[in-house]
Amino acid sequence: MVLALTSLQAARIQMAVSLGFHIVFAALGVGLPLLLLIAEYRANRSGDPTWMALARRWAKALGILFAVGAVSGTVLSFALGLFWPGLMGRWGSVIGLPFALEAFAFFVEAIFLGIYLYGWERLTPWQHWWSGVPIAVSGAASAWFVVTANAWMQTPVGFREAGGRVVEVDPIAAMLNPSTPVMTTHMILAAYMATGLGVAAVYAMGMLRGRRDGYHRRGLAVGLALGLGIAPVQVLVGDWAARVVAEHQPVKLAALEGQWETQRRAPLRIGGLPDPHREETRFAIEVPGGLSWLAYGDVDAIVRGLKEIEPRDRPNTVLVHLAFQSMVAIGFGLLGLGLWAGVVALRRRRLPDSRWFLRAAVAAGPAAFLAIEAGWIVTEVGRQPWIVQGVMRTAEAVTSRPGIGWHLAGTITVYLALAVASTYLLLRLAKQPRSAEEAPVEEPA
Amino acid sequence: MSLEAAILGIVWVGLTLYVLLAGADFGGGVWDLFASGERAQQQRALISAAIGPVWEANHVWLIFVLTGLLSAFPTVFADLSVALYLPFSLALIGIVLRGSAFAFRSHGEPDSAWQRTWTRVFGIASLVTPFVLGAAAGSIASGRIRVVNGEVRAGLLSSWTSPLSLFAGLFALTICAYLAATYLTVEAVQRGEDELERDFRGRALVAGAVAGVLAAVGLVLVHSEAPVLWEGMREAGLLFAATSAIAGVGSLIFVWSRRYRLARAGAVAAVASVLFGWGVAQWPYLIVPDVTVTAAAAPDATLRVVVVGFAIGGAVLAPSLFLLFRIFKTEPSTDRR
Repeated sequence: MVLALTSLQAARIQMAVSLGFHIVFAALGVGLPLLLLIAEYRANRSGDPTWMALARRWAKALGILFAVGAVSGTVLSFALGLFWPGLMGRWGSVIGLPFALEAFAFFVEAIFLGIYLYGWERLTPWQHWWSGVPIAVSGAASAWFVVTANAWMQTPVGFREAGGRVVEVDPIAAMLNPSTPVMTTHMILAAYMATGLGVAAVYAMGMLRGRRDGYHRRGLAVGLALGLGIAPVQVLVGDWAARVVAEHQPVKLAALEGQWETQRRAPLRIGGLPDPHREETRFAIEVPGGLSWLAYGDVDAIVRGLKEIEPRDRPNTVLVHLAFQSMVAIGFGLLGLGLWAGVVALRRRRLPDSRWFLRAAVAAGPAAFLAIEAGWIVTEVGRQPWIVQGVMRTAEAVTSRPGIGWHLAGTITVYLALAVASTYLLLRLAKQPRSAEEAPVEEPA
Repeated sequence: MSLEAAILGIVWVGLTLYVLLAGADFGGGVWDLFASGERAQQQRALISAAIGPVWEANHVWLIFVLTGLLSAFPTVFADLSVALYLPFSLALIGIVLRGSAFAFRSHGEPDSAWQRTWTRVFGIASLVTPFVLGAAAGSIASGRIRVVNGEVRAGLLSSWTSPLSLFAGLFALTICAYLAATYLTVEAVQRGEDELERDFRGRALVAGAVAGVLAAVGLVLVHSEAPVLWEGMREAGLLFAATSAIAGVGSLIFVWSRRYRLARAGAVAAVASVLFGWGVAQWPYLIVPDVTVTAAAAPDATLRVVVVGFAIGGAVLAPSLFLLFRIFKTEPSTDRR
């Protein structure tokens, strides 16, 4: 089936699969070092073996996750050229810089990860803790650099086109384009949230199965504190993101809101299904003036609709709208879960541990990752048909090579195998009895 | 020196380090695949211990080279991606499977089907990757990739399956195996493993001898197949070729006489000379014979910030790398507890 796709379709799906796979490992690679630092700090401070057991367990998980994240990230570095030579050939001089800088951040991450994972017995406890700090810092830096490049594709600046050539190139301005502040913040917070909630889900599952010991309670608490603590901030950052989109990418805003008419006092739609043929969004709950107010701070502001744009220049509105609604719904769900945990914690001085709360915590882990995937669908599909908003079409950038379908088929096969294998290993790790963990880790054979 | 030449020089150093460091990790995977005899498991354990802490950092040199090209020579990055679509795709599968398999196999029960499977995947991926990357390098140097009016003309298969390309793949693989075996003798001595030292000494001698023979064959092939490169070799590359030959022979003698640290230094010098000889011989072309370094360079404004970025990044990178190798590669594994 995949072999029947056009080059452009196959390349786009290939990119979606590569990014969708990598982002899970990348987010955990950014977030897990922070959790490790917290756990190991408390272990070193108090000598509490439970915190050390958590740190050791997470370090093993990070070893697996970082390896798969590193190699799937390499796929993306190559993919930029293999599938989109038109993008890189023409714009590499404008937007190559953050990729080059990201290489250094990745270096620092990989170097200190090696020291951290293999250095338990070679370093003193505090030396070892400090060797984890550069991993956390450079993980966030990596994410920042890479997302600046994507932000530039949304709001390209730092150059001028003259006579078909790119002139007056300013890579720093390109890196610091209007979408950079909000997109980098949104993504790095999302990585911390998803990691915290993903980790918490493992321990919530364990507690549901009756293992309600200090080890599980601490794992749950630290994960939830990171994940749910960020949730309210992330809702505000999300709002900021929507306003930046409204200002710079009105078509994307219209698509993600399912707004067909250009109108004053545009409603905010909750739910709903856009119908591209009838050019309307049905079944939505509409809050009058809500979209105008959220996007422009004025209930009477004019919001541009999709009908202003030729159909061939519109993104896939159904996909973008549904992905956006899913992300927002998950975000508010997590906000609610955070309120629940926060209220109980304030009143009873401990986290709720009812079965319903634990079930919700188990669901929150995968949900947070789904929200990241949905967010990237909004960002990337919402920009179509442009690869560089308003400047270069995706179809202009795609490679002339035939047979991308084969590459796609290969990628799906290999990534399925890796997903199954790493999930199996992580589950196995989560189930291992803890006694092995407290003994010093031997060199892997 | 012009800005673009300086940046290319830095990228070329990165490429050389990729071969010297990550190449040896791939070579380790090859010896893992061919681990044999009653000590096969111990050989694999030594390989795992040697590359475990460093392989991810070593791998990043490839990202450094790619992103350096992408930012400073963007059209070359794009042209090579089109021309070498197939070998790059194969190398990617190899890179993904090699890294994942290495991480996967260190978990799981010893000698389980799980471990045997991923060990096999690790070895095969370590064998395939340097071969296809070497073949790709061969096709860049040999003039099989034409770029006419900005349009790439290169066969999907024929651009990297000429005799010179296939030779370059084989040579790259041999170099990786040779580097790995030489490094592993040092590791074996550090750990007091006399029998493993003998095993890898033998492997280093065989791989080194094969690499030497291949280097000689390579010169003949370059003469007959790649006239532009041959011209460059005769003018500027000769010094590097001679250095490589002397260092290579020297390193073999040192392996023979069990002076492994000197042997390792000789192997490093021999391989680095090959890479720099290639670079100098190919100058001023980035893709022989149509794309020159100057023509492919990004505007000066970009090159200037890339240089500044390299300087800042290098200032962070150098001490970090020093620390990594200091912790894991200088002393025998006397653990401090």
